Amino acid sequence: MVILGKKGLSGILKFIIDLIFWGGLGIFLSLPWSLRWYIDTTHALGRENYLFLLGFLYFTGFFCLVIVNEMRKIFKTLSRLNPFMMDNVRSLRRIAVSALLISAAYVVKIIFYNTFLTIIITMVFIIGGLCALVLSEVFHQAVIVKEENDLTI
Amino acid sequence: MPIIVNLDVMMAKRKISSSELAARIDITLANLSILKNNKAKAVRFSTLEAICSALDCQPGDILEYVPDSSDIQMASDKEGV
Repeated sequence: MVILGKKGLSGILKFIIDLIFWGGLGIFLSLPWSLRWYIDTTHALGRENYLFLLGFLYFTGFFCLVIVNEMRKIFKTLSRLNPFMMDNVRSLRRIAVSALLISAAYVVKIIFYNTFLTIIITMVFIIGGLCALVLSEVFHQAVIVKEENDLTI
Repeated sequence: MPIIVNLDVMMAKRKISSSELAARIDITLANLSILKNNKAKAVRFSTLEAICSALDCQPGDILEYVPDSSDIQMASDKEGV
């Protein structure tokens, strides 16, 4: 089974991530209407909650889109079979910062509207952000070794 | 980098072009350019051997050590101690 390349697993994943990005962008842009529709159908939330949720979803949604977009960039380089480059290090750092900002927003949500799922998502984003930070450093080391190798004649 | 590659000087002495040398030592023109422009971080012994063989010279004819100003400062500091 081919893992890397356009026709490999990374190519398929890139396609799925593209779909997630464009779908997410659509939901992000239609948030005021889609959230109102959700509230009207569930009858679960008041006006105060609507405004809080709208702001919260805009904030976390924006950084989720940043994460997905950076993942698209990384998978694009995987398709070109050239993943060890400084752009990917920067992308992983941006993913880490975005994930940690999202987890910070979820910590605020835990204070005001706590649910068990919120705690789980917070933990996922904290662990994900820290993993991305470590991975960015691993990639950085790999880029240094690759440059050294490329410049050995 | 205090190691200078004087490949172009030796190439001029031997009247050999970059493309001809690259073909003789079996490396790409891009890699030869990296070597000539002092961008290389390391040179393999096999490459050095091929260059010396092609240009009929010694490694010292191609490589030169020119101390940095910081190296000179460190050496004078040691002598002072």
